[in-house]
Amino acid sequence: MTARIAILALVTAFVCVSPAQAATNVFFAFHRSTNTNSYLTINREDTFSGKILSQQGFRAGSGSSTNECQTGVGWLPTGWYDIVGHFDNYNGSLIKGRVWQLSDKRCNGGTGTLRTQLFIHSEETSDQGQYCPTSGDDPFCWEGTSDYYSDGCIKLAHAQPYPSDIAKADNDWDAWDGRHGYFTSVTSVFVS
Amino acid sequence: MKRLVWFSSALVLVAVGLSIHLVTAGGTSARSGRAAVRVSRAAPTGAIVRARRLLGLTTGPATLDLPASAPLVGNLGPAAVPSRDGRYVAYNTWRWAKQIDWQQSLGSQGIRTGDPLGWPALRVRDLQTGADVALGAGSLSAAWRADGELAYAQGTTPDYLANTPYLRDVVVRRTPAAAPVVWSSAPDRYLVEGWAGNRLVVRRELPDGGADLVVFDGPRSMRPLASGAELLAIDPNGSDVLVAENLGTTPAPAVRLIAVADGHEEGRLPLAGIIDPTTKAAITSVAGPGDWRRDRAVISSSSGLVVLHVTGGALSIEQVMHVDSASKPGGVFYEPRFTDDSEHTIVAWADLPASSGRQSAQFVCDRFALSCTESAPVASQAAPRPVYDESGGDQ
Repeated sequence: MTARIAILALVTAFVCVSPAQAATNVFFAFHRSTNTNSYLTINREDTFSGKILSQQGFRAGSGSSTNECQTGVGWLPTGWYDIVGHFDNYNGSLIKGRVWQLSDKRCNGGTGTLRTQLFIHSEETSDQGQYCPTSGDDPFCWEGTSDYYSDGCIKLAHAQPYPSDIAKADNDWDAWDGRHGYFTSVTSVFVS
Repeated sequence: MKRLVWFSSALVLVAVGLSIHLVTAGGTSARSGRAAVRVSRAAPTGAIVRARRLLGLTTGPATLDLPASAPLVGNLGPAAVPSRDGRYVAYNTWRWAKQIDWQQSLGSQGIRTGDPLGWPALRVRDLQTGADVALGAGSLSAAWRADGELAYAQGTTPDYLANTPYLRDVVVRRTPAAAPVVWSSAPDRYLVEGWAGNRLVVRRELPDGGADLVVFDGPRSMRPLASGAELLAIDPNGSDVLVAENLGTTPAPAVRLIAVADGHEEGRLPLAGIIDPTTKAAITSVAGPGDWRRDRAVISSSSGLVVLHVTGGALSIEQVMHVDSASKPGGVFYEPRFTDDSEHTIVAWADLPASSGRQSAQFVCDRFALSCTESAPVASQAAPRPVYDESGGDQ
């Protein structure tokens, strides 16, 4: 009887999980090159074989210094991160719209500053639009290459031709993972 | 508009270039240039703290009760802070909740958002009696006022929780043994930077990264000082601060001289006008905390060190020192300090790029001879931190 219940529970669990969810995993990989011209990929891999099933890459920026221990200035430290949440209409004071929040990371392989408040984001409004009231640099308006600089996060462009890079990454996320809000099970970002 | 900005920057560049104090070599004055680096086996000099060992203070070496460690303060302030009269040292400590492999993600090690990651706690060492007491769980970052009052940030909880905002109050004690008085009206992401006279300069981190500088004129009396800016140095008289606006917050990054009393800008140096003498390109970032003595301040830059001249509210470039290792990724100098009031020699720490940040060394730079001595490397994990107080002003 116990064995039957166990088998039933196992079958139920298997049926309740869609094949895509059970068999694939989504992760980001960020390769640092310069503050304004690095490379971010979003990847869907076969959970068991590790084979990359789908991938899309984007130019991305990070920080305004190449010192990963400089809080608020340095680019993202190397290593694996968790994505702890994803939001389509984030409404922070400096960051809005489509964002992925990353876990804390101690720099220099664990010897230096504990970096916190890290995101993948763009320059857009909370409703994913553009707010460009001045002819100068507006924080929620993508004007050009200098917008790749950040306070230490990863930035994707919200630039024409549309869909923009931030939109493409978000579309991939929605199609391959689909979770929003804060997560209880983690997804990864690898920074090298 | 962008063209206008670049054109303006070019004009500024020329103007600032003309204002650089170009003086000849010969060991009696400073000039901009590339600093030669000599690797030595010399031990670190100056006032430093290395784990439990406190060295280089006039009171002699001391062994602290706990190792000094400040991962949350990081490069934004000192790990250990001496009182003005030299009797006390306030120092940051940190205890991790568990051993963490930082190359791996927290989640893969069973650490979820909201789990305790560690516990900060400030301690005060009485260098006369040897008493070494904790100020309270969750306390971090400290600054001593000239009259002995001690300011620091006090977390609302003792635990730093993974991936979670760590809110704290700004508190001040009249003496280390006195009861703390809360100066902030509400907890926020505060980090105490230093006293400017009897005003307290505090970094307030923003929820999405980035930070503002604010000033407390007293309890429950906070006002903005500079938004999107990092502190570089506080005037030894406590009247002004130097702050940095970097490319992450503005397309026209600059060093700004700001009056603490009312927050007005007295001077501004665009980074576009600070030219590296070796690459002939503008530096791209500057960082503090630096050191300000009399009318001269030293800060670190994306390619080495910059010495600024500040007098009568005017800000100019005195010297731009290029150091090869500092211009490489991960090699920027931390917490540069003049070694004495002659401001002839600068001491700074840096991670060694060739070691991928696993090793650090102390650099002692003679800015007249344009040469630096690099100490024997030490593991970054155990690298000493300079002991100083960024505060200025006599009150």
